Amino acid sequence: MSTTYNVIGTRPIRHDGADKVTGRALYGADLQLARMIHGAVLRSPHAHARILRIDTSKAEALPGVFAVVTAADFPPAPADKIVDFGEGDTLLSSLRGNILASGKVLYSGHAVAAVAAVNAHVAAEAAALIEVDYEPLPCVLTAPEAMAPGAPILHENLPNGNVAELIRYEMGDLAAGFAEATVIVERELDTATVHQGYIEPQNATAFWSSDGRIHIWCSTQGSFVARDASAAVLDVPVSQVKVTPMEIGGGFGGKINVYLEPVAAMLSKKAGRPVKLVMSRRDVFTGTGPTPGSRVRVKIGVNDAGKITAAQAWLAYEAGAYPGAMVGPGAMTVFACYDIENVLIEGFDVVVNKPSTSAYRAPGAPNSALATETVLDEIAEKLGIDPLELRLRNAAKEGTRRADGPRYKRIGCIEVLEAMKASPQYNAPLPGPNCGRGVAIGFWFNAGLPSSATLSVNADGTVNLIEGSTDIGGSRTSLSMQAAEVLGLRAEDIHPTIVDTDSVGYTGVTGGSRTTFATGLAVHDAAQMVVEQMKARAARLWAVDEVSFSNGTFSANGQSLTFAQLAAQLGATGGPVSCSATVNPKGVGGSIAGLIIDVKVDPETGKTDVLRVTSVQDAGKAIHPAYVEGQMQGGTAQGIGWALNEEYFMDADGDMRNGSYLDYRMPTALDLPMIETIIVEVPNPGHPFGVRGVGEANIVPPLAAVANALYRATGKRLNRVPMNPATILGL
Amino acid sequence: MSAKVQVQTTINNEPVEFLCEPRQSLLECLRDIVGLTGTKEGCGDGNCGSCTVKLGDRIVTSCLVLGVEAAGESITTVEGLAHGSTLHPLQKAFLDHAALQCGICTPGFLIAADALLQKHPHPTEEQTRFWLSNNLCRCTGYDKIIRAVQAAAIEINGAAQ
Amino acid sequence: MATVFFPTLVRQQTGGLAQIEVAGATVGELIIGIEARFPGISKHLLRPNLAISVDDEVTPLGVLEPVRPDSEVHFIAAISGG
Ligand code: FES
Ligand code: FES
Repeated sequence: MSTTYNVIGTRPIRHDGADKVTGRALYGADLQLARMIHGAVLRSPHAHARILRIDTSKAEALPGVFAVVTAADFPPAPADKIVDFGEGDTLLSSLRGNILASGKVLYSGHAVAAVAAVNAHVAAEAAALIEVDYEPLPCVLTAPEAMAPGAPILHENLPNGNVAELIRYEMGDLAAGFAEATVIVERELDTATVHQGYIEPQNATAFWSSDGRIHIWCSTQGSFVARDASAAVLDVPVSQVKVTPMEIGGGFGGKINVYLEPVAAMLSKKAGRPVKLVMSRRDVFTGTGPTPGSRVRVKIGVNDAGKITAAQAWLAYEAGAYPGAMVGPGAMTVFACYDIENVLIEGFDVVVNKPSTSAYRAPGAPNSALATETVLDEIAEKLGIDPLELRLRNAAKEGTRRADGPRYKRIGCIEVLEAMKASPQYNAPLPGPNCGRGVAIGFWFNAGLPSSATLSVNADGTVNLIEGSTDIGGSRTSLSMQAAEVLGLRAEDIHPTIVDTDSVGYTGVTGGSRTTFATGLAVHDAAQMVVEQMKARAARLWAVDEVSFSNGTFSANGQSLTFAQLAAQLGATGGPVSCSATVNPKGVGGSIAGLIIDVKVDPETGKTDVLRVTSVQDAGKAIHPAYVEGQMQGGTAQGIGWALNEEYFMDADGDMRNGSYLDYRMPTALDLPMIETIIVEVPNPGHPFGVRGVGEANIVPPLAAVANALYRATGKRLNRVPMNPATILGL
Repeated sequence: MSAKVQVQTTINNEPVEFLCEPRQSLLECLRDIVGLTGTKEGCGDGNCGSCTVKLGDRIVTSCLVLGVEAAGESITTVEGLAHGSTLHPLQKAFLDHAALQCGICTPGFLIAADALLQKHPHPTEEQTRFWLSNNLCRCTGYDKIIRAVQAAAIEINGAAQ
Repeated sequence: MATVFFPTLVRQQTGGLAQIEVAGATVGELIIGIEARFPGISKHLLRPNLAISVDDEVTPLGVLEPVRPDSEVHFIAAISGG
């Protein structure tokens, strides 16, 4: 595309930058309110147990305690009531049950009761005084075990034991496809439960006012989702709840669900004061939603020409305590990078006695891509074809039909593969023995969902942007840049503010890689409305019919005014200009990402050093390339941690034995090299600037790329992630 | 609840006096008593570095230091890095290099990096990574943080010889 | 007539039929037509966690989405993301 932009593609300083480097930015835990008190949550020590009795009297009697709540304080959830937060539907009873257990606890860490007290120490002391009698039940911790006959059952009302949902996609003739193949490889790989690992723990402060209004301040990826979910759990109308999103210290999908918000609200109702709840790191690990562990089996057949003739996948994902294991997207993405005629995909959403899982960057896709991309690596080796070349021969393109039905619009799979092939790293030699290079690619859909924005023109020629997308990685700026581009201004002429749910139109989560795309569209549309209104003002001023606008200047009949000059005259030409737009867009553009990774394995200790990494991704159009690179680097680092180290290490009783950063061991600065990035730009026809969204696809390739690199370094095909020293040494 | 203790310290070059319980961490005292919430809590057990402050001439994870231990000491937090409205070169470099995404880890990294540059005016990439390995960042993959610190080193101390 | 593709697991309701041509101006009208032929099928098509894709794009309008005579309609797992 030959479009040239003034602002898009540049790297302005982010609008919230000064606040965030000086410590002024207020995150959820930073909030201080008059008369505010503090809470603590009591959690189950059992992975599966019946609650026989809860006695809160000792806690209530402790001096300094204001309120204690249990599930009994919440309105009951009708058995099959579904709530829709615009992000897919949720069973209210699951949501409610996860917030405070009633009847049974389903995982170690399941919240059972909460206390509000004069300070957090007293609240913790009080929580420890709550007596709970449990009848422990046998627990089941992995999907294959939970699917086996005779497994302990978590929910009596699921029709198929612990299998909450079955998914099946079928296309073509599988048997005929495999019959045409000359090489067939089948592998089964397991991945462990992992956590998003955002550094800021979940938090929520709530005040239930005597007029019935509930004000919640929290760190959330979606203030409206937090509002709607809290209202549903508390059984109040959504308009009774106002959520003020505080700055958010990372989310990656893990801060979409609510955990503390309704509990803080209920404590506040009882105490008559604002109540703040902040999770400890262990609470974050055991009480929020990690992403599913899985078992995935993939079988792929290829003919002599290196063309895939058939592919079959079987996926079982651990949902944790309540249904919803992201196996749908896992199944839809397992072969999504390739043009394959004969496909069968079966997926199982399996409940187990672990925390209820939630999204983590392209949820479900890394688990399944691990299997596909390692099998393809093995096939490439068998055929003696370069692994990227094998992928190129099968790459999905415009018109390719995915197994779940839809055909692709313009998609950048070939472009990403070509960029990988041409990259400096792919063409550099490996440094020596025990080293290996792996490649893999992955796909993510990205999302649309509703967004709203308001632009108001200031008399000094700047523009205020009001929006509702919480900013986790520079979205204030990527949105402001789109407004600036339309209005012919500089990014710094736009003043973005993220407001509460009473103050802007409904806006979906900052998730699904959607903010720069969808909220960007709302901003773009509002900016175009501003241009039209400003043109009308200039027309009135000059008494002409037609005014043109380009590069920030309005002109007609040889007269012209800059945006700022006209902005100064708005008062005299009809009053202020302020335009709002809402969107619920189609036109979402999926993103392909690829990774090249070089590793060195110490044969004595099994320790892996990451030597060099190149992350490649189709951004559609990179609005702010530095933050696009940042997304790619961050997703890559998380994926490498997932591949090599991270896991929920559970004992036989379902207790997480490594619930601290010391033992969960995410990558540090010392574990990683610089992360090279190549931004591919295949514009998305569904967005005026071509944006696709970049937050997620980058975490799909690393698991497989690391596995492939380890194979080249060690000669071993490992079948379990994390591929830590014990796995590598076969211990 | 135990009796409160009076603690006299210097925070960001200003004398500060606060009352705390003996069990309260320095992090808690800074955030909840003194009101300096720029220093963040990511784990409370010394493993994330987001609560890093300078205490005397060393850097500490303030969640592992008791408030009472700060008596008579001088403390620097992220709020004390800038000179008036002029950002510290590290702060500016973090913005120029897009070295923060969510920003929750940034205060800890800035304090740790400031101490690094005082000890090693021109740290190598390896030294920088080693020094900052007590600070977790989950968003950036560290690349842009390392680059920002090295750019700030040049800004502050000139190009290495 | 638009083409509606049945999800694999719904084909139990259609006697194994994978797709069908139906007349209608919106997804909702198509479903009324399909329901007439396979009574009871609509609850398997319109249910939580299934999104509707018309001409290769998930539609936020659901059953209200207009269709053309050459449109393709799929029912796929709803995705939001992280
Ligand atoms: S909060 Fe102190 S090191 Fe994490
Ligand atoms: S920028 Fe989010 S943790 Fe570092």
